[in-house]
Amino acid sequence: MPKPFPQPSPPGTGGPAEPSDASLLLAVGGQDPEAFRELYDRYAGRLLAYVQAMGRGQLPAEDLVQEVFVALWRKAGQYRPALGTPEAWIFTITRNKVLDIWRSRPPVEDRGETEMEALMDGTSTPDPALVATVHKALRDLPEDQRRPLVLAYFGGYTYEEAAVRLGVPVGTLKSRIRLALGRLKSLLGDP
Amino acid sequence: MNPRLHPPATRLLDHVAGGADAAARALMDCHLALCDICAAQVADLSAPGGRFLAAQPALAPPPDLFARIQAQIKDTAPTPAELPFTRALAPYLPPDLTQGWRGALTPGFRFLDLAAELPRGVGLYLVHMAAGAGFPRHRHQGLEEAVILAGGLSDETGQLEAGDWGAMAEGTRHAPRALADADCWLIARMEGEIRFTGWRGLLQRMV
Repeated sequence: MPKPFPQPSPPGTGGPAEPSDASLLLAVGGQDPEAFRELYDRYAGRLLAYVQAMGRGQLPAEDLVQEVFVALWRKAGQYRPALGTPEAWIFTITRNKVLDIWRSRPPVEDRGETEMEALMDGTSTPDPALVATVHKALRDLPEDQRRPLVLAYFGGYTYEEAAVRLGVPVGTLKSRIRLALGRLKSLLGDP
Repeated sequence: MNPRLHPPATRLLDHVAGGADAAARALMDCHLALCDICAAQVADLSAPGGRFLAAQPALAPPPDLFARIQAQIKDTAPTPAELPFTRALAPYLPPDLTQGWRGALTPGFRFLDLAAELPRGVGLYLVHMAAGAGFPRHRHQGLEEAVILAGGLSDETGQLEAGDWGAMAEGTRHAPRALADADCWLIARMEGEIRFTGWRGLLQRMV
């Protein structure tokens, strides 16, 4: 039996408010199909843009989005707000799902990073101010921290692929990712 | 209540940065379900990814994509209805938990191969030990990591209870035993086989 769809009303408005993304995820965890449709409507477009960049023309982005939403349906029961914002949780699920698919395929010579770099510099979004903040923060990182982050954390490269591409040991790569995440968090502030 | 034993910092980073295989993610998902301390660290480390996703331009998905997703969901295995431990493990479980269990030459011990898509040489197992049951002394031929899902166990290194993250390095030996007051459920990620000592070891080598 699906859980009831949460529709909190803000004080003073008298009408139902849009459920938060966190409420939607919790409802999807209870196998609520309406909440799942709403989550899809909110995230499918952005996920399509993201996985298209990660696929670098070699993985069909629509198929990847399909796999990501199947994973979200199965794993939504794990979500709780203490794990982070819904978009951060969905980001991690997405990147890991694409990585799993990459790992299951034969290795390729060079997957390129042009599209991910382009996405990092993109400005065409519903909220240019937000983009400016994220991309400015990324640009403010030292290059030896920014590139490991772009390749592995955002770009879906395996550690090994990213380390080879950057010419550093895996341990060094991980140290730089950790440093970059710490710095990025302070540059971005609280969500 | 938070667990007492936590994964190393590098495992937390792997979880959010793409360095964890499916077995490592399963263990971490179970630990995070029971540990607010590590959940807070994961929230911190994954926050930039969330900000990045929120800033993406929204492309138009094909009109039939949601219908395709719905069709695929109908074909996915349902989650087992009742679990004696955290539901964080549910996505990794087969729909029928009564099938596929194997023993290991000792009463009260059974395990289920979760057969996730894993790198060569890595295994993921759900283990059930009846209250008070022991597992014979053995040596690890590769790293073993485990998260206690319910109940607890003790060995030469100490006691582990629900949510605790345990690790046995390659070459270490131990003989775990479930605590006497409740069944112990755990999930284990193994990078190598185990070798029994004593007569079981002789038998294992002969087989």
